[in-house]
Amino acid sequence: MNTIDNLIDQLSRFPGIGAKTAQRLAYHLIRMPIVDAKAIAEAIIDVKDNIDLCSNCFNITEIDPCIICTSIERDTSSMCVVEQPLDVVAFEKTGVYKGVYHVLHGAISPINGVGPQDIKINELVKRVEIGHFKEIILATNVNLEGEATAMYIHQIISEMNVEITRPARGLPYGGDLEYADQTTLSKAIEGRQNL
Amino acid sequence: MVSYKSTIFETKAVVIRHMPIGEADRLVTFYSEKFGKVRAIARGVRRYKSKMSGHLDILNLVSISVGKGKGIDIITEVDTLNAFSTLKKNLTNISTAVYLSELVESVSMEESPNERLFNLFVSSLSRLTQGDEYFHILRHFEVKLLEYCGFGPELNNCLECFKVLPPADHYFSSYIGGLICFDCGQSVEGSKISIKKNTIKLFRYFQKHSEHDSSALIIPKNNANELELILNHYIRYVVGKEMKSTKFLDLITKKT
Repeated sequence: MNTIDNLIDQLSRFPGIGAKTAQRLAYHLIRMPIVDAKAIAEAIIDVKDNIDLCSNCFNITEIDPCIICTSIERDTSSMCVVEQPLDVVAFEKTGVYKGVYHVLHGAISPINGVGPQDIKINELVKRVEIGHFKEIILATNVNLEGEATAMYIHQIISEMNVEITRPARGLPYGGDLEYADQTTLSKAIEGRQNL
Repeated sequence: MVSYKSTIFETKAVVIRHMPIGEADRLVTFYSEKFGKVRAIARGVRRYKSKMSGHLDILNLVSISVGKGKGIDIITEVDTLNAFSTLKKNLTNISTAVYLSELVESVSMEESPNERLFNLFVSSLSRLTQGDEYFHILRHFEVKLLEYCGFGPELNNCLECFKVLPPADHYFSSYIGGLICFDCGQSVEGSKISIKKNTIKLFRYFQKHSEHDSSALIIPKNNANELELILNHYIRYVVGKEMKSTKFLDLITKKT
Protein backbone atom coordinates (compact mmCIF):
# COMPACT_ATOMS: atom_id res chain seq x y z
CA MET A 1 0.00 0.00 0.00
CA ASN A 2 1.44 3.41 -0.95
CA THR A 3 1.54 6.43 1.39
CA ILE A 4 -1.57 8.18 0.05
CA ASP A 5 -3.66 5.00 0.15
CA ASN A 6 -2.50 4.39 3.69
CA LEU A 7 -3.52 7.93 4.72
CA ILE A 8 -6.96 7.52 3.09
CA ASP A 9 -7.34 4.18 4.81
CA GLN A 10 -6.47 5.64 8.22
CA LEU A 11 -8.74 8.70 7.80
CA SER A 12 -11.70 6.52 6.83
CA ARG A 13 -11.53 4.95 10.31
CA PHE A 14 -13.14 8.09 11.76
CA PRO A 15 -16.89 7.90 12.43
CA GLY A 16 -18.91 9.39 9.61
CA ILE A 17 -15.92 9.53 7.24
CA GLY A 18 -16.41 7.38 4.18
CA ALA A 19 -13.89 6.58 1.44
CA LYS A 20 -14.74 9.71 -0.60
CA THR A 21 -14.46 12.13 2.33
CA ALA A 22 -11.24 10.43 3.45
CA GLN A 23 -9.87 10.93 -0.07
CA ARG A 24 -10.78 14.65 -0.01
CA LEU A 25 -9.18 15.09 3.42
CA ALA A 26 -6.05 13.26 2.31
CA TYR A 27 -5.59 15.48 -0.77
CA HIS A 28 -6.27 18.56 1.38
CA LEU A 29 -3.49 17.42 3.75
CA ILE A 30 -1.13 16.94 0.80
CA ARG A 31 -1.72 20.51 -0.39
CA MET A 32 -1.37 21.90 3.16
CA PRO A 33 1.92 23.56 4.31
CA ILE A 34 4.09 21.04 6.16
CA VAL A 35 3.90 23.15 9.37
CA ASP A 36 0.10 22.90 9.51
CA ALA A 37 0.11 19.17 8.74
CA LYS A 38 2.67 18.57 11.50
CA ALA A 39 0.57 20.62 13.95
CA ILE A 40 -2.41 18.32 13.28
CA ALA A 41 -0.27 15.20 13.72
CA GLU A 42 1.21 16.54 16.97
CA ALA A 43 -2.22 17.51 18.32
CA ILE A 44 -3.40 13.92 17.78
CA ILE A 45 -0.32 12.48 19.53
CA ASP A 46 -0.66 15.02 22.37
CA VAL A 47 -4.25 14.02 22.99
CA LYS A 48 -3.36 10.34 23.10
CA ASP A 49 -0.39 10.98 25.39
CA ASN A 50 -2.01 13.41 27.82
CA ILE A 51 -5.72 12.64 27.94
CA ASP A 52 -6.95 9.85 30.14
CA LEU A 53 -10.08 8.90 32.02
CA CYS A 54 -10.65 10.32 35.50
CA SER A 55 -10.33 7.39 37.91
CA ASN A 56 -13.31 8.72 39.84
CA CYS A 57 -15.97 9.86 37.36
CA PHE A 58 -14.51 8.42 34.11
CA ASN A 59 -14.79 11.71 32.26
CA ILE A 60 -11.89 12.50 29.93
CA THR A 61 -9.25 14.59 31.67
CA GLU A 62 -5.65 15.77 31.56
CA ILE A 63 -5.19 15.45 35.33
CA ASP A 64 -6.45 12.62 37.47
CA PRO A 65 -8.81 13.09 39.36
CA CYS A 66 -10.41 15.63 37.03
CA ILE A 67 -11.03 19.30 37.89
CA ILE A 68 -14.74 18.71 38.48
CA CYS A 69 -14.13 15.89 40.99
CA THR A 70 -11.50 17.93 42.89
CA SER A 71 -13.28 21.31 42.82
CA ILE A 72 -14.38 22.57 46.25
CA GLU A 73 -17.14 24.57 44.59
CA ARG A 74 -19.01 21.50 43.40
CA ASP A 75 -21.82 19.89 45.35
CA THR A 76 -20.49 16.42 46.11
CA SER A 77 -23.84 15.19 47.40
CA SER A 78 -25.32 15.22 43.90
CA MET A 79 -24.19 12.96 41.05
CA CYS A 80 -25.34 13.22 37.45
CA VAL A 81 -24.97 9.98 35.50
CA VAL A 82 -24.46 10.48 31.76
CA GLU A 83 -23.69 8.20 28.81
CA GLN A 84 -20.80 10.08 27.17
CA PRO A 85 -18.15 12.73 28.01
CA LEU A 86 -19.87 15.06 25.51
CA ASP A 87 -22.98 14.98 27.71
CA VAL A 88 -20.87 16.48 30.53
CA VAL A 89 -19.85 19.28 28.14
CA ALA A 90 -23.54 19.91 27.33
CA PHE A 91 -24.50 20.09 31.03
CA GLU A 92 -21.53 22.32 31.87
CA LYS A 93 -22.53 24.77 29.13
CA THR A 94 -25.85 25.40 30.90
CA GLY A 95 -24.01 26.44 34.09
CA VAL A 96 -27.06 25.31 36.09
CA TYR A 97 -25.82 21.99 37.46
CA LYS A 98 -23.24 22.26 40.25
CA GLY A 99 -22.86 18.62 41.30
CA VAL A 100 -20.42 15.95 40.11
CA TYR A 101 -20.72 13.47 37.26
CA HIS A 102 -20.33 9.80 36.41
CA VAL A 103 -19.72 8.89 32.76
CA LEU A 104 -20.93 5.41 31.79
CA HIS A 105 -19.26 5.36 28.34
CA GLY A 106 -22.30 3.89 26.66
CA ALA A 107 -25.76 2.57 27.33
CA ILE A 108 -27.12 -0.94 27.71
CA SER A 109 -27.91 -2.12 24.19
CA PRO A 110 -28.87 -5.82 24.23
CA ILE A 111 -29.31 -6.01 20.43
CA ASN A 112 -25.70 -4.87 20.00
CA GLY A 113 -24.49 -7.21 22.77
CA VAL A 114 -23.70 -4.33 25.16
CA GLY A 115 -24.64 -5.38 28.69
CA PRO A 116 -24.22 -3.73 32.12
CA GLN A 117 -20.74 -5.26 32.50
CA ASP A 118 -19.54 -3.46 29.34
CA ILE A 119 -20.15 0.05 30.67
CA LYS A 120 -19.16 1.77 33.94
CA ILE A 121 -22.14 0.58 36.01
CA ASN A 122 -20.19 -1.47 38.58
CA GLU A 123 -17.95 1.55 39.15
CA LEU A 124 -21.05 3.72 39.63
CA VAL A 125 -22.52 1.32 42.20
CA LYS A 126 -19.23 1.32 44.14
CA ARG A 127 -19.20 5.15 44.16
CA VAL A 128 -22.76 5.30 45.44
CA GLU A 129 -21.99 2.67 48.12
CA ILE A 130 -18.97 4.46 49.54
CA GLY A 131 -19.95 8.07 48.79
CA HIS A 132 -22.30 10.36 50.67
CA PHE A 133 -24.64 11.15 47.82
CA LYS A 134 -28.09 12.48 48.53
CA GLU A 135 -29.24 12.52 44.91
CA ILE A 136 -28.38 10.54 41.79
CA ILE A 137 -29.65 12.07 38.55
CA LEU A 138 -29.93 9.44 35.83
CA ALA A 139 -29.38 11.63 32.76
CA THR A 140 -29.04 8.87 30.17
CA ASN A 141 -30.44 9.56 26.71
CA VAL A 142 -34.20 9.68 26.28
CA ASN A 143 -34.58 6.64 24.07
CA LEU A 144 -35.16 2.93 24.65
CA GLU A 145 -31.52 2.15 25.42
CA GLY A 146 -31.11 5.16 27.71
CA GLU A 147 -34.34 4.28 29.53
CA ALA A 148 -33.31 0.64 29.92
CA THR A 149 -29.95 1.74 31.35
CA ALA A 150 -31.65 4.11 33.82
CA MET A 151 -34.12 1.40 34.87
CA TYR A 152 -31.33 -1.13 35.39
CA ILE A 153 -29.28 1.29 37.52
CA HIS A 154 -32.41 2.22 39.47
CA GLN A 155 -33.05 -1.47 40.21
CA ILE A 156 -29.56 -1.86 41.67
CA ILE A 157 -29.22 1.34 43.69
CA SER A 158 -32.84 1.79 44.77
CA GLU A 159 -32.15 0.29 48.20
CA MET A 160 -29.11 2.45 48.94
CA ASN A 161 -30.92 5.27 50.73
CA VAL A 162 -30.35 7.86 48.02
CA GLU A 163 -32.84 9.90 46.03
CA ILE A 164 -32.90 8.82 42.36
CA THR A 165 -34.20 11.29 39.80
CA ARG A 166 -34.44 11.57 36.03
CA PRO A 167 -34.33 14.91 34.13
CA ALA A 168 -37.75 16.22 33.07
CA ARG A 169 -38.97 15.13 29.68
CA GLY A 170 -41.19 17.05 27.36
CA LEU A 171 -41.29 19.49 24.49
CA PRO A 172 -38.03 20.95 23.23
CA TYR A 173 -37.66 24.75 23.26
CA GLY A 174 -38.57 26.10 19.84
CA GLY A 175 -40.28 22.88 18.76
CA ASP A 176 -43.69 22.73 17.05
CA LEU A 177 -46.34 20.93 19.08
CA GLU A 178 -47.98 19.36 16.04
CA TYR A 179 -44.82 17.38 15.25
CA ALA A 180 -44.36 15.99 18.78
CA ASP A 181 -44.59 12.22 19.06
CA GLN A 182 -46.98 10.39 21.44
CA THR A 183 -44.34 9.60 24.06
CA THR A 184 -42.91 13.14 24.25
CA LEU A 185 -46.35 14.73 24.37
CA SER A 186 -47.65 12.36 27.06
CA LYS A 187 -44.51 12.95 29.17
CA ALA A 188 -44.96 16.72 28.71
CA ILE A 189 -48.56 16.52 29.92
CA GLU A 190 -47.64 14.24 32.85
CA GLY A 191 -44.88 16.63 33.94
CA ARG A 192 -46.84 19.89 33.48
CA GLN A 193 -46.20 22.67 35.99
CA ASN A 194 -48.14 25.60 37.44
CA LEU A 195 -47.34 28.95 35.86
CA MET B 1 -48.16 -4.99 -4.19
CA VAL B 2 -46.34 -1.68 -4.30
CA SER B 3 -42.95 -2.12 -5.88
CA TYR B 4 -40.01 -1.64 -3.58
CA LYS B 5 -38.34 0.19 -6.42
CA SER B 6 -40.92 2.98 -6.56
CA THR B 7 -39.52 6.43 -5.78
CA ILE B 8 -41.33 6.78 -2.46
CA PHE B 9 -42.94 3.95 -0.58
CA GLU B 10 -45.06 3.97 2.51
CA THR B 11 -45.63 1.15 4.97
CA LYS B 12 -46.31 0.21 8.57
CA ALA B 13 -43.14 -0.85 10.35
CA VAL B 14 -41.55 -1.59 13.71
CA VAL B 15 -38.23 0.14 14.41
CA ILE B 16 -35.61 -2.47 15.29
CA ARG B 17 -32.21 -0.82 15.43
CA HIS B 18 -30.36 2.50 15.11
CA MET B 19 -26.81 3.34 14.27
CA PRO B 20 -25.40 6.88 14.47
CA ILE B 21 -24.03 8.00 11.15
CA GLY B 22 -22.55 11.33 10.01
CA GLU B 23 -23.07 14.55 11.97
CA ALA B 24 -26.60 14.03 13.28
CA ASP B 25 -28.10 11.20 11.20
CA ARG B 26 -29.08 7.66 12.05
CA LEU B 27 -29.15 4.50 9.99
CA VAL B 28 -32.45 2.93 11.00
CA THR B 29 -33.36 -0.73 10.52
CA PHE B 30 -37.06 -1.50 10.62
CA TYR B 31 -39.27 -4.46 9.89
CA SER B 32 -42.09 -3.45 7.61
CA GLU B 33 -45.40 -4.96 6.65
CA LYS B 34 -44.99 -4.53 2.89
CA PHE B 35 -41.24 -4.86 2.31
CA GLY B 36 -39.81 -6.93 5.18
CA LYS B 37 -36.53 -5.67 6.59
CA VAL B 38 -35.54 -2.21 5.39
CA ARG B 39 -32.57 0.00 6.23
CA ALA B 40 -32.79 3.72 5.60
CA ILE B 41 -31.17 6.95 6.75
CA ALA B 42 -33.04 9.38 9.02
CA ARG B 43 -31.49 12.80 8.48
CA GLY B 44 -30.79 15.05 11.50
CA VAL B 45 -32.64 12.88 14.03
CA ARG B 46 -29.94 13.10 16.68
CA ARG B 47 -30.72 16.79 17.08
CA TYR B 48 -33.24 17.66 19.80
CA LYS B 49 -35.39 19.71 17.48
CA SER B 50 -35.73 16.93 14.93
CA LYS B 51 -39.38 16.30 14.09
CA MET B 52 -38.74 12.62 13.49
CA SER B 53 -36.52 11.53 16.39
CA GLY B 54 -39.26 10.74 18.93
CA HIS B 55 -41.17 8.72 16.36
CA LEU B 56 -38.16 6.60 15.51
CA ASP B 57 -37.52 5.18 18.97
CA ILE B 58 -36.71 1.46 18.96
CA LEU B 59 -39.81 -0.80 19.18
CA ASN B 60 -42.19 1.92 17.96
CA LEU B 61 -44.87 0.83 15.50
CA VAL B 62 -44.84 3.58 12.90
CA SER B 63 -46.24 4.61 9.57
CA ILE B 64 -43.16 5.42 7.53
CA SER B 65 -42.42 6.96 4.12
CA VAL B 66 -39.10 6.19 2.51
CA GLY B 67 -37.63 7.77 -0.60
CA LYS B 68 -35.03 6.16 -2.82
CA GLY B 69 -31.67 7.83 -2.26
CA LYS B 70 -28.57 7.60 -4.45
CA GLY B 71 -27.13 4.74 -2.45
CA ILE B 72 -29.26 4.06 0.57
CA ASP B 73 -32.92 4.98 1.07
CA ILE B 74 -33.93 8.07 3.05
CA ILE B 75 -36.79 8.36 5.55
CA THR B 76 -38.97 11.29 4.50
CA GLU B 77 -41.84 11.04 6.96
CA VAL B 78 -42.70 9.04 10.06
CA ASP B 79 -45.62 8.95 12.43
CA THR B 80 -46.08 6.84 15.58
CA LEU B 81 -49.00 4.41 15.49
CA ASN B 82 -48.16 2.73 18.79
CA ALA B 83 -45.18 3.57 21.01
CA PHE B 84 -45.88 0.58 23.33
CA SER B 85 -45.24 2.97 26.24
CA THR B 86 -46.39 0.52 28.93
CA LEU B 87 -44.00 -2.11 27.60
CA LYS B 88 -41.12 0.35 27.81
CA LYS B 89 -41.67 0.95 31.53
CA ASN B 90 -40.63 -2.59 32.47
CA LEU B 91 -37.11 -3.97 32.05
CA THR B 92 -38.24 -7.61 31.58
CA ASN B 93 -40.61 -6.53 28.82
CA ILE B 94 -37.95 -4.39 27.15
CA SER B 95 -35.38 -7.20 27.17
CA THR B 96 -38.00 -9.66 25.84
CA ALA B 97 -39.09 -7.28 23.09
CA VAL B 98 -35.50 -6.57 22.07
CA TYR B 99 -34.87 -10.33 21.79
CA LEU B 100 -37.97 -10.68 19.58
CA SER B 101 -36.75 -7.88 17.34
CA GLU B 102 -33.28 -9.39 17.06
CA LEU B 103 -34.87 -12.69 16.04
CA VAL B 104 -36.99 -10.97 13.38
CA GLU B 105 -33.95 -9.12 12.07
CA SER B 106 -31.84 -12.29 11.99
CA VAL B 107 -34.30 -14.48 10.08
CA SER B 108 -35.39 -11.89 7.54
CA MET B 109 -33.74 -10.51 4.46
CA GLU B 110 -34.20 -7.12 2.82
CA GLU B 111 -36.97 -6.85 0.22
CA SER B 112 -38.63 -10.10 1.29
CA PRO B 113 -41.89 -9.32 3.04
CA ASN B 114 -43.57 -11.75 5.40
CA GLU B 115 -46.89 -10.32 6.52
CA ARG B 116 -47.63 -13.16 8.94
CA LEU B 117 -44.30 -12.55 10.68
CA PHE B 118 -44.98 -8.81 10.83
CA ASN B 119 -48.41 -9.40 12.41
CA LEU B 120 -46.93 -11.91 14.87
CA PHE B 121 -44.26 -9.37 15.84
CA VAL B 122 -46.77 -6.57 16.43
CA SER B 123 -49.23 -8.79 18.33
CA SER B 124 -46.42 -10.11 20.57
CA LEU B 125 -45.39 -6.53 21.42
CA SER B 126 -49.04 -5.78 22.23
CA ARG B 127 -49.23 -8.84 24.49
CA LEU B 128 -46.15 -7.62 26.37
CA THR B 129 -47.86 -4.24 26.76
CA GLN B 130 -50.92 -5.98 28.21
CA GLY B 131 -48.74 -7.70 30.80
CA ASP B 132 -49.03 -11.31 29.55
CA GLU B 133 -46.49 -13.80 30.91
CA TYR B 134 -43.21 -13.17 29.03
CA PHE B 135 -42.31 -16.90 28.89
CA HIS B 136 -45.51 -17.76 26.96
CA ILE B 137 -45.01 -14.84 24.59
CA LEU B 138 -41.39 -15.83 23.92
CA ARG B 139 -42.06 -19.53 23.23
CA HIS B 140 -45.17 -18.84 21.14
CA PHE B 141 -43.24 -16.26 19.14
CA GLU B 142 -40.25 -18.56 18.56
CA VAL B 143 -42.40 -21.52 17.46
CA LYS B 144 -44.54 -19.42 15.09
CA LEU B 145 -41.54 -17.48 13.71
CA LEU B 146 -39.85 -20.77 12.77
CA GLU B 147 -43.04 -21.93 11.06
CA TYR B 148 -43.59 -18.67 9.14
CA CYS B 149 -39.99 -18.72 7.91
CA GLY B 150 -40.21 -22.31 6.69
CA PHE B 151 -38.26 -23.89 9.54
CA GLY B 152 -41.20 -25.29 11.54
CA PRO B 153 -39.93 -28.49 13.19
CA GLU B 154 -41.60 -31.87 12.62
CA LEU B 155 -43.18 -32.96 15.89
CA ASN B 156 -45.57 -35.76 14.92
CA ASN B 157 -43.51 -38.28 12.98
CA CYS B 158 -40.00 -39.59 13.53
CA LEU B 159 -37.72 -38.03 10.91
CA GLU B 160 -35.67 -41.25 10.65
CA CYS B 161 -38.28 -44.04 10.39
CA PHE B 162 -41.28 -41.73 9.58
CA LYS B 163 -43.53 -43.60 12.01
CA VAL B 164 -46.06 -41.69 14.06
CA LEU B 165 -44.45 -40.93 17.41
CA PRO B 166 -46.02 -42.70 20.40
CA PRO B 167 -46.55 -40.58 23.55
CA ALA B 168 -43.14 -41.09 25.18
CA ASP B 169 -39.75 -39.41 25.68
CA HIS B 170 -37.88 -38.91 22.38
CA TYR B 171 -35.01 -36.91 20.88
CA PHE B 172 -34.89 -33.53 19.13
CA SER B 173 -32.34 -32.92 16.40
CA SER B 174 -31.71 -29.36 15.21
CA TYR B 175 -29.73 -30.71 12.25
CA ILE B 176 -32.63 -32.87 11.00
CA GLY B 177 -35.24 -30.27 12.03
CA GLY B 178 -37.53 -32.17 14.38
CA LEU B 179 -38.12 -35.23 16.51
CA ILE B 180 -36.50 -38.65 16.27
CA CYS B 181 -38.14 -41.55 18.08
CA PHE B 182 -36.36 -43.01 21.07
CA ASP B 183 -35.32 -46.19 19.17
CA CYS B 184 -33.92 -44.36 16.11
CA GLY B 185 -32.24 -41.88 18.43
CA GLN B 186 -30.02 -44.67 19.77
CA SER B 187 -28.46 -45.26 16.37
CA VAL B 188 -28.48 -41.72 14.89
CA GLU B 189 -25.09 -40.03 14.88
CA GLY B 190 -24.61 -36.36 15.66
CA SER B 191 -26.03 -33.91 18.16
CA LYS B 192 -29.48 -34.61 19.56
CA ILE B 193 -31.20 -33.52 22.76
CA SER B 194 -33.49 -35.80 24.75
CA ILE B 195 -36.99 -34.39 25.17
CA LYS B 196 -39.60 -35.44 27.73
CA LYS B 197 -43.09 -36.57 26.74
CA ASN B 198 -44.74 -33.55 28.38
CA THR B 199 -42.31 -31.10 26.77
CA ILE B 200 -43.27 -32.55 23.35
CA LYS B 201 -46.94 -31.97 24.23
CA LEU B 202 -46.14 -28.40 25.22
CA PHE B 203 -44.14 -27.84 22.01
CA ARG B 204 -47.09 -29.13 19.91
CA TYR B 205 -49.49 -26.95 21.86
CA PHE B 206 -47.53 -23.80 20.99
CA GLN B 207 -47.32 -24.96 17.37
CA LYS B 208 -51.06 -25.64 16.98
CA HIS B 209 -52.70 -22.99 19.09
CA SER B 210 -53.06 -19.26 18.81
CA GLU B 211 -51.43 -16.81 21.19
CA HIS B 212 -54.70 -16.32 23.07
CA ASP B 213 -55.04 -20.04 23.87
CA SER B 214 -51.46 -20.40 25.05
CA SER B 215 -51.55 -17.41 27.42
CA ALA B 216 -53.58 -19.38 29.99
CA LEU B 217 -51.24 -22.38 30.10
CA ILE B 218 -49.72 -23.40 33.41
CA ILE B 219 -46.31 -24.87 32.61
CA PRO B 220 -44.18 -26.98 34.99
CA LYS B 221 -40.70 -25.50 35.39
CA ASN B 222 -38.75 -28.53 34.13
CA ASN B 223 -40.76 -28.66 30.88
CA ALA B 224 -40.46 -24.90 30.47
CA ASN B 225 -36.67 -25.07 30.88
CA GLU B 226 -36.37 -28.02 28.49
CA LEU B 227 -38.45 -26.34 25.78
CA GLU B 228 -36.44 -23.12 26.16
CA LEU B 229 -33.17 -25.04 25.81
CA ILE B 230 -34.33 -26.93 22.70
CA LEU B 231 -35.76 -23.85 20.99
CA ASN B 232 -32.61 -21.84 21.72
CA HIS B 233 -30.50 -24.62 20.26
CA TYR B 234 -32.67 -24.95 17.15
CA ILE B 235 -32.83 -21.19 16.56
CA ARG B 236 -29.05 -20.93 16.91
CA TYR B 237 -28.75 -23.67 14.30
CA VAL B 238 -31.26 -22.06 11.89
CA VAL B 239 -29.91 -18.51 12.24
CA GLY B 240 -26.30 -19.61 12.36
CA LYS B 241 -25.31 -17.36 15.26
CA GLU B 242 -25.88 -16.69 18.93
CA MET B 243 -28.54 -14.07 19.70
CA LYS B 244 -26.75 -11.13 21.34
CA SER B 245 -29.75 -10.05 23.40
CA THR B 246 -30.20 -13.44 25.15
CA LYS B 247 -27.49 -12.61 27.68
CA PHE B 248 -29.29 -9.49 28.94
CA LEU B 249 -32.67 -11.24 28.84
CA ASP B 250 -31.27 -14.04 31.04
CA LEU B 251 -29.74 -11.50 33.43
CA ILE B 252 -33.01 -9.61 33.85
CA THR B 253 -35.38 -12.58 34.01
CA LYS B 254 -33.28 -14.37 36.60
CA LYS B 255 -33.29 -11.25 38.71
CA THR B 256 -37.01 -10.52 38.59
